[in-house]
This record gives sequence, structure tokens and C-alpha cells, in this order.
Amino acid sequence: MEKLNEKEQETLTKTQTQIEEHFRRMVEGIKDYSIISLTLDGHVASWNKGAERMFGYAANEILGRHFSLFHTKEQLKNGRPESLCKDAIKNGSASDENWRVRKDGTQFWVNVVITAQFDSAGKLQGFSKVSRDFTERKQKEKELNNELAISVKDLATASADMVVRNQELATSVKDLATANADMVVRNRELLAANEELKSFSYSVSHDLRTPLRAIDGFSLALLEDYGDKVDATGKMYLDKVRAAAQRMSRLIDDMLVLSRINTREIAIEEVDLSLLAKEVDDELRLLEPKRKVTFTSIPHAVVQADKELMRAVVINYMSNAWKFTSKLPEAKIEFGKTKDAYFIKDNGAGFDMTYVKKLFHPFQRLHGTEFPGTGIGLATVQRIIVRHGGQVWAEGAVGKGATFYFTLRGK
Amino acid sequence: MDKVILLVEDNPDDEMLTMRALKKNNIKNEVVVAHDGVEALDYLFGTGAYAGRDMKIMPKVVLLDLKMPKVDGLEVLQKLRANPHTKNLPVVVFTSSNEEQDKIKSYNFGANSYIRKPVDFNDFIEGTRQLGLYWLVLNEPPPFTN
Repeated sequence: MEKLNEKEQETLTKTQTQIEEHFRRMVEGIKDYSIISLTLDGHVASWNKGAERMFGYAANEILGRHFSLFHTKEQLKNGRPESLCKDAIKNGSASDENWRVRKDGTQFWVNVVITAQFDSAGKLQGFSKVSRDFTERKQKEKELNNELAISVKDLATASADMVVRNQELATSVKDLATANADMVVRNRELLAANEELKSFSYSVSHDLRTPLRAIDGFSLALLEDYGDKVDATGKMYLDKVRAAAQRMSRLIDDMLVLSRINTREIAIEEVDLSLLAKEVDDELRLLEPKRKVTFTSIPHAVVQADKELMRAVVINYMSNAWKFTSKLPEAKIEFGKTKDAYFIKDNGAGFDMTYVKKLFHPFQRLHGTEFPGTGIGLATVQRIIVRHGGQVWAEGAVGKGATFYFTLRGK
Repeated sequence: MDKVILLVEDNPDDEMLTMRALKKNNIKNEVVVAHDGVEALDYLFGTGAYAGRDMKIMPKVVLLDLKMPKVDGLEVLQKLRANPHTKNLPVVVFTSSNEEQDKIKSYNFGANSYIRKPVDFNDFIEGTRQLGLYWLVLNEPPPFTN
């Protein structure tokens, strides 16, 4: 190559300087990246605007100072900066993401690429470092991680709870199955007992009556055929024998009714109690047409109940009212309703409230032979009403009449 | 008289009382007593103990008890209703029982009437009187084809 003359040399040098100046200003002007260079031993050789913004040092403050200034105490202890440089020398470049320290002492998160700079002969001249501030990204990462940690913890807790709940459920299911099995057994036992009771009642109805009939019939036969051989007392005894047999027959009938209340299946339907009461009143009037009885009733007393059983209740209460007013010249019987209960009220013989508790027990009578009856009727009523989920009670005073109440479920 | 009453009754007390009641009511018809279902069917079909009897003589009414040993009343009823020779016979079920199921079955199997035997003997006598009046006097029996 020809040697350049002085003027040519000057132009070349000027052009090179211009190019270098151009590049210097370009690097210098970049604000978002910190682009700096370090000497071999780590002192700051150049410092751009980006570095100023990022690290907080002005160029004239930091030039010539050691780059360890930018690292945390811990990093320095671990020898991180040196190992980064070594990597850069070995591989040409090294990258890192970690904390760096600003001029004011605060830390920020940086993403940095360190490049080893060699001259044309391959000799190490220094290092360049291009850094990006990823503090915000790091912060977001940290927040996300925190949220994730919380979610994981919550999930673990919820999971543990669910395991416990599952165990509880399994125990409950087992208990339920046992209880169910028990109930099936109990149900079978109850059904069997019910059937036994039904067939017992059935055979009682037939087998007890036949001997009773014999007692009554042959006593009468004795009276009729051998009457002349029997004196008045003897005749009285035989009459008592017959009366006792007939009474026993009525008792059997009543007891059967009572037991049947429990074994019968209840059929719930709409029942008009007022209509029932009117029907019963008509029937009672037919049986005793000569009696003067005034019957008043509330209209449309409609309930949900077993019709036949309610008929038994109304018949019972109203027959009692008719029976215990039979000694009055004019009787008054009323079918009514209080807020919660229905009642049959009469102005008849009444009863002593002292004995009110005995009223509804089977065979407990408060009137001896004054008024006929086996004492079963009210016990039957109570059983029917109890089966409907209701209650019975009564109020009265001797000679001043009585009121008999009943309620049904839900009333 | 060609007006036989067939009384199907296993209880000797009830048999005696029924006979007494019929007598008290001046019912003089011949009463054939069968003491269980087998005897009743033997009489009605002319078999067993009654083999060879004059089958032109059939009861004007059958008083049938229900609860009997061997063959009970309902079975007798079913069998006699199934046989063309006896199916129109008037049958009065005469029993202690007033159970629903007995009534239903009796009528289902073709009883003409269901009467409950009362305990009070006076009622028994009165009941028998009315029975006798109705079935032996008032009621027209079915004609028999022999």
C-alpha cells in the first residue's frame, strides 16, 4: 500500500474521530439502558446517561471509582462480581440478574450482560456492562409469588379441612346405615306385633262370646223351665248372672273397638265435623224421639282427619251429652270451636273436677249405676285424637254440665 | 213336612239354644243338625253318613255357622254354591263374629244373609222368630229340578 501523505493522513484521522464521536454520543444518549465500561481492574471508564439515571451517580462522580460500589455487601462477600468477570473472560460474556446499590443506598433489581473487551491482538482491555432496571418486574414477580404462596397455603388448609370433613361424613354415613338397619328391624317387629294384635282381637271377638251366650241362654232356660222350683232370691241371682254376661259382652265389644283404633291404618281426608255432628244428632233423635234437646253447631268445621275415626269421636262425645242430659226436661247441646280446639258442651249432670284426670282412662267411671256405660268411650276418643297428634280434655261442674274438648295435629 | 231346616253348628251349647229358640217360636219344622262342614256337605250332596238319603228333600234354609273344625262354614258355602243341585239354596250365615272380613267373604261366596248371634238370649229368641218368619213363611224358595 502507498504511504499516505500528510493531508490524506489528516483527513483519515478526522473521519475516524468523527465516527468515534458519533458512536460515543449514541451510547452516551441512551437513557433506558446503563452502558458502562470498566478497566481491567474494575474501575469505571465510561458512564452513560442511562447509568446516571439507574445508579444515581453523575459521570464526573463515578469515573475512575471501583465497580464494587454497585454491589451489595453479601455479593462482595460471595465474590460474585469477580466470578462474573471470570465468566465473561472465559465465555466472552456473562449475564446476571440480581440486586445493585444506588448512590442513595437503595437497592434495585438489575439484568446485566457483561462483555469482555479484547484488543485486536486478543489482549484483555476491560469490560462493558449493559444493564436494564427490572425492579418493577421483580416487584410484580414478588407480589405474584406472595399471592401464589398464600393460595397454596389456603389450598393446603382447605384440603386438610376436606379430609377431616370426609372422615366425619364417612362416620355419619356409617351411623346412618346402622340406624336405618335398626329401624328396618323395629319396623318388622312392629308390623308383626300389629298383626298378632289384629288376629288376637279377631279371635277374641268370636271365642269369648259363645260361652257368654251359653251363660245367658241357659240361665234364662233355667228360669223359664224350673221357675216354679226357684224362689224370688234364686230368680234374682239368675237375673244377675244374665246381666253380668251381657255386660261382659258389651265390654268385649268396647275393648275391641279400643284396640282396633291402634291397629287400623289412618286414612286422612277432608272431613266436615259440622256435617258429622248433624248426622249424629239426627240418629240420636231417632232413638229417643220423645226427648227435648236443642242442638246448636258451628258451620263448616272442616279438618284433615280419618273420617270413620272422627265419626267415632263425635258419636262418643255427643252420646255422652245426650246420656248425661237425659234427666233434664230440656237439654242444650252445643258443638263449637275455641281458638285452638273443638268442643261439645252440654247442660247436664256434669262431673266433679277433682276427678277430671280419671275421665279418659279406660273403665274409670265417675257415675255409678246412675247412667249406663262401660267407661270405654272417652278412652277411645283419647286414643283416636292422640293418633291424630292432638289432645283431649274436659271441664265441668256437678249439676252444671260439662264441656269436652279435642284438638287435631297442627291446630 | 217338606220344610227342613239345616242347622250347621259345631257348638253343642249353641245347638241346644238354637233348638230351644226355634221351639219357643213354635217353629215345628224338622231340623237336621250337622256338627261340622263335612257332615253338612254329606247331607247336602247325599254322601258319606247321608249316602242313600232321599235327595228330593232339600232344606228350605241353611243356618250356617262359620267357625267349625275340619271344613269351616265358608268352605261349605263355596262348595254348595258350586254345585248345580244346591247352588240356589237360601243360606243364612249365623255366627258370633262381626268381623269385616267374615262379612265380606260370606257375601262374596254367595250368602243370602248374615246374622250375628246375640249374647242376650231374649234377643236370640226374637232374632230366631224373625228368621223363621221370613225364611220359612215369607220367602219363596227356589224351585228344585231333580
